[in-house]
Amino acid sequence: MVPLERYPVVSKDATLLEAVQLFERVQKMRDRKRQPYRAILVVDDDKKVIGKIGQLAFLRALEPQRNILGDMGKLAIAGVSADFINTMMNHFQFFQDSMADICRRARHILVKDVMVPIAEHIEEDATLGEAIYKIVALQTLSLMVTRGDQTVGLLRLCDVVQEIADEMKHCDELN
Amino acid sequence: MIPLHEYAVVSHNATIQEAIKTLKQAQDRPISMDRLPPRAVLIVDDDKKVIGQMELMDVLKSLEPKYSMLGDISALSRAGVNEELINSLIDNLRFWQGDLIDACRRVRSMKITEIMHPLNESLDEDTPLSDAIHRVVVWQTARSLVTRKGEVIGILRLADLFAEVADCIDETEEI
Repeated sequence: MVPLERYPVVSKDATLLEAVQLFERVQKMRDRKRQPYRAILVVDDDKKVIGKIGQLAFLRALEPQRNILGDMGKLAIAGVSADFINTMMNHFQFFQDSMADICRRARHILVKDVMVPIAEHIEEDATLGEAIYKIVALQTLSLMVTRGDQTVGLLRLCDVVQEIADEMKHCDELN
Repeated sequence: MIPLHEYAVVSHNATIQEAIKTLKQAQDRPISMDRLPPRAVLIVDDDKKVIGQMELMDVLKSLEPKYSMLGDISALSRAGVNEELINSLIDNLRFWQGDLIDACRRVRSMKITEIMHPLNESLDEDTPLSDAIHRVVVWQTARSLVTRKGEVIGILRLADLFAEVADCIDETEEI
């Protein structure tokens, strides 16, 4: 688990530019022995974690018609053919402006408008097996770790896989 | 884009443990601080053709064969099913009661082909950046193949697209 105080956090009222700058600062200072952060947590006025903004959410924020896009993503899951989806994508022509214009507009978007809410959590004294089960069942990259009503950290898929890899190596040593 | 020879790649004859080791070596390789380490391994056949990928989630799923029955329970949450009901479903579907060490011992010699999944998304190397972003957002994928005249020459990752966009948002001057 990564303790909450070590995780990059922004206010829900921050702009995308402020979030990007935080992301860049965190990447520059990262400890190479640890898995890097690929998301920022979003907190409300009471410092309660209410969401996260990851790389895909950032890119999605650039699309002016991003709400339609969400439904298009589900088409592939529903079995609609790739050719048909490509035709629809071409029809929508989301990006009409230059990259510079798109990025200039994105600077002022508020984090709260593009963040992904997170509700999935696990108690801090749950077993690793329970955590793995929940991550797979919810197909999530991370779970909030709670102590009672309080969020105390984040359990990431990459850290869990690191544990599994260490365990496999340990099996080798026992053989 | 990352050229194919710089990415984590294993043969279709590799075991899960060998694939994890290859991924770890690729993550530990010294690269620029601007570039995030890989989170997947590509699998190639005897002709070096990419036939699939192993993501971190695939490693967790391999620990319990019945996980494949789960599907994506988080879709229920997006469909408006209340959290209490989802949690009760997750508890009722709990398959794995065994020991983590036993599970690791069992899966480490399994063939990578048993857990890999196809990487179907591909972009031509001449695709404009804005078009690539649009497609990655719609596909909701962490990586796609990059092709030249139909032949795979590299990987375009969500993380690298994000880095480009973050630079653009940070550096674009206000008018």
